[in-house]
Amino acid sequence: MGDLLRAGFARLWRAPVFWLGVAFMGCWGGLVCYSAWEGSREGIVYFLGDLCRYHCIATVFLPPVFCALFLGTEYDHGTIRNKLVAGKTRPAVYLSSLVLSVTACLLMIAAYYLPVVCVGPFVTEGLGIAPGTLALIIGGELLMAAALCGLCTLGSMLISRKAILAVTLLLAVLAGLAVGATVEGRLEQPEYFQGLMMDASGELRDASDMENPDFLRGRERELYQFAADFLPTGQALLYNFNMIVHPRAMCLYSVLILTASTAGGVLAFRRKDLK
Amino acid sequence: MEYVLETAGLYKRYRHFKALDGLTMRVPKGAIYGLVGRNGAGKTTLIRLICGLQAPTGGHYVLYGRKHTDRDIDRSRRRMGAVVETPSIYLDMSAADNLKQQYRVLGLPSFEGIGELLELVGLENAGKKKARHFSLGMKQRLGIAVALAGDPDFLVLDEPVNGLDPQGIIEIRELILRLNREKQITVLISSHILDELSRLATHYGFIDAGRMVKEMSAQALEAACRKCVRLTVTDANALARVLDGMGAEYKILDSETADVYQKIPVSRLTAALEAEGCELLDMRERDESLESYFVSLVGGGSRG
Repeated sequence: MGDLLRAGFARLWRAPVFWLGVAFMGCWGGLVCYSAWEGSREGIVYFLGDLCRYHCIATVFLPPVFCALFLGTEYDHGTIRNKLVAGKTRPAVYLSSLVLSVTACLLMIAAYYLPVVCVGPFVTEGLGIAPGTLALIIGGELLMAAALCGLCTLGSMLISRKAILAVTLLLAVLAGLAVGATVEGRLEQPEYFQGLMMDASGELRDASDMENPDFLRGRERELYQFAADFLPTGQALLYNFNMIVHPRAMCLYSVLILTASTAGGVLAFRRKDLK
Repeated sequence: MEYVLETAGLYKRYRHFKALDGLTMRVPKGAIYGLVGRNGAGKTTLIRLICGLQAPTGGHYVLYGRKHTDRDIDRSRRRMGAVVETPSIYLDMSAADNLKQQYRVLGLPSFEGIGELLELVGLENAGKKKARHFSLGMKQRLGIAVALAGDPDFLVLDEPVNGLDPQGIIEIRELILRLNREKQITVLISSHILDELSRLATHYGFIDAGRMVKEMSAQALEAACRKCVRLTVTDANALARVLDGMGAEYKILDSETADVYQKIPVSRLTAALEAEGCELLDMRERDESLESYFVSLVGGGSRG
């Protein structure tokens, strides 16, 4: 697998999609710092811990774009055949692709952190969160990105048409974000109505004692919370909007997704008929 | 004879379609083996199987003495290079960079030999031009160069002259001949351009509907397709005596027919046959081309 990684990284350093991703995330980090600076001038207090979360929604688009354009090229140009004909095993081809996509995405996220770490301390009011908790959250974000890379690598190794792959991965992420937003919208519902309400006679009255029928309770709430914690796109929203309830469980789910998608992907790729 | 590749009853099914139907073949070491068959006969499927891109649904093949199910079949694969259908090259890289990439995949310690390889395929002047801007012939030659990285002993080429102009076809043909003669590389080449194949191949495998119809050497094929006069007589023994007397080269086919491989004076022949008490019933010139031989082997009808 070492040879495949050497070849893969040699290609990665010259891949425009990788450097575009790095530049995009770097600019995103810079923009977040600028917004914090602008906000601080208007009296809004930002903490460095907040800035470390604001890349998560952008991050979910990195694996599908990278995998479709970088890994998808191997099928598109037929170069994946060169590896197999040269005697490389299918698990080695799969795992090297996974390592490449995870590394590339982590480097792109690192590009976001570069301006945040360098400029962030000057435009924020300290960490705003315990260092240990922040480390757990950053670790969770990176694991979430790795889990998405695992899923996108699975797609890239099983879908041989680059255009179909790109559309499938992007639609999957958009659908995942939509599901995540819906789930978290339900979780955010207040238990009681707030403010005033007009009754049948047209009189206004205080509604704060009325229960919200959309508020999730019991088993249903647990199920929605699990969906939000489990889905990588759900996690991205939770991290981004600071709605994290079970940070350790989210890390565990990401590891599970990465492991299961890799195991399933290797098995499926071993059986796949290549053209 | 030593064989590089042997297949035994190889099957490949795609749902209800049988792409290979018990195909058995043997590619001798040092040969240029021409795999002949019409579109959909199973040529590319066979190549995909032996390259490890797909797994057979039945039967087996042996590559350099290792069965395809052996754990160390990858070691045999390292001795082969292949161009399957289209050349497998990174279009956004130059010819040299494509080769460097393949050298890295193969784990070769240095890029030594890349210049020589580019020269061998006639791409030494391609410079930094991206493969995307190459002509079809240049792409095909680069694909062959990539397949040749790591000095393979066995080269598999699937329709290498498809879509090439006459000059490109000549260049590829000369390259294959040079590789076979100078580097002793065994070549398996599939094509449905029979005339082109006949200028290269030392052995042939005629494949139809996923089955091997006939395997033969180039000499045997040449003999089968040789220009001759087919004589039908009442007594082939008498004909043999007459032809011996005339010093003619011939081959008795059965008790009534024989092929004569040179021009013979008809009046002298009939007179001599009459003296032997034999009658000449029919006489026709035969000039079977490779195409007509192929059609006679596989039948002219379309596949159902």
